[in-house]
Amino acid sequence: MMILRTLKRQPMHGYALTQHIKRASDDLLQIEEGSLYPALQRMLKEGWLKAAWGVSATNRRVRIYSPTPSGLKRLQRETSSFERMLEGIRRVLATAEA
Amino acid sequence: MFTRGQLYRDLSEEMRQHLDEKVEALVQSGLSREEAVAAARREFGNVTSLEERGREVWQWPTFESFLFDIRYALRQLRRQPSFTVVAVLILGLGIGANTAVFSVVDRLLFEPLAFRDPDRLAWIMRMNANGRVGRSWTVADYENLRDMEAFEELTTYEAAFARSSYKLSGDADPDRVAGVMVAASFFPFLGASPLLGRPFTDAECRLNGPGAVILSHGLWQRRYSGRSDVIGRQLMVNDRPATIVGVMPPTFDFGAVFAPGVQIDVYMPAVFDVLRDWATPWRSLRGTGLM
Repeated sequence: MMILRTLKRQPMHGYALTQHIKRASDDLLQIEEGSLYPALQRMLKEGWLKAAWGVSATNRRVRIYSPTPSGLKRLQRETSSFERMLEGIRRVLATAEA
Repeated sequence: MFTRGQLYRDLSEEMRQHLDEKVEALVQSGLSREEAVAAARREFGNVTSLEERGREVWQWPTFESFLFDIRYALRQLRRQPSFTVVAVLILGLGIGANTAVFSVVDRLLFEPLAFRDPDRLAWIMRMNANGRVGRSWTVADYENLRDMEAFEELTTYEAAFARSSYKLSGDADPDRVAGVMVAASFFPFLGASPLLGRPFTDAECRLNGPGAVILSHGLWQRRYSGRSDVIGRQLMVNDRPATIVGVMPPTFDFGAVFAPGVQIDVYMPAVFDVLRDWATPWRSLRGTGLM
C-alpha cells in the first residue's frame, strides 16, 4: 500500500523508493531494504505496477516503477479499508480509556 | 510479454544497481568502501534469498517444485548407484511377480472359455445327502438328465481321469500318458473341432465298439512328429487295439479348463455301459450342459 502510494505521487526506482519510505516515516519503519524487490515483483505480476528502464538522477540505468489503473484502484481499496481498521482500533482504545 | 529469463535478469540487475547506489551513498557519507559494502549488504538483506523470492513470484509453485523434486531425486539416485540398483531390482521383482500371478489367474479365472457360446455353458452340480456340492454323476443320472431335456445339449467326461493313465504301444516306443474319457458329444458340444480327423462316433462309444483314440496336439508332435498320416493309424492303448481318429488343435487344452495342472494327451470314448458298472459307489461322470 505504501509502495503504491509513493509511486502514485512519483514513479521511481527501487533504491529511491526505500530512501523515501525511510525518510517519510522518520525512520520509524525499519524495513529490510531488499524485501522490497519480491514485493515489487509480485505487484508487477498482479498488474498493479508497470516497470520501465530509464536513467536515474545519478545517471544510472534503473528500473522505474509506476502504478497502473488497476494498481490505483487497489490502492484506494487498501487505503480505505486500512483507515477503517485504524478508526475502529482508535475507538476501541478510546472507550477503553474512558 | 517478457520471457521469464528476461524478468529474472532484470530483477538481478536492479538489485545489483540498488546495492551499488547504496554503497556510493554510504561512501559519500564518509564510510570507507569496505565498510560501505558491508553496511549496504547488511541493510539490504540476503541477496540470494531475496532474489529467489523475487523469482518465485513468476513460478507455478506446485508443478515446478514437483519437477525440481523429481530432478533432485534423480540426481540423488545417480549419486548412489548401489542403492538405485537394489531399489530397481526389488521393484522389478515385485512388478514381475505380480504380473506373472495376474496373467495366470487371468487366464484361469477371468478369461471367457474358448468354447462355443461360453455364457450358455454350465456345470451340472448337485447337492449330496451330506450337504456338500458334487459334480459327479452316475451314468444313469446322466441319461436321465439327457432324457429330461432340461438342457439344450449335455455332455460328459469321465470324472476320475486324474487317476488314469494310458499305455500306448504297438506302433512306436511304449509310453504312458494321461488321458480322459469323453462322450461322443464332447467335442462338438464345446465347438472344438479336431485339427485332423473327426470326433468320436456313437459306435465308438458303445460297448465292444471299434477302439478309437483322439490325440492331443502336443502328443501328436512328440510321438508322431506332426505327420499328417496319423489318422487311421493303429496302435495299442492299454493293450487294446485302437485307431487314431483325430488330433486336437494346439488351442484346445483340456487341462486348462477342467483340470489345471494336468496335461491330457489322449481322449478315449466314454463307453457308458462300462462306466455304468463303475457307478456305485462312485459317480463316474461329470456333466456340462448347454442351456
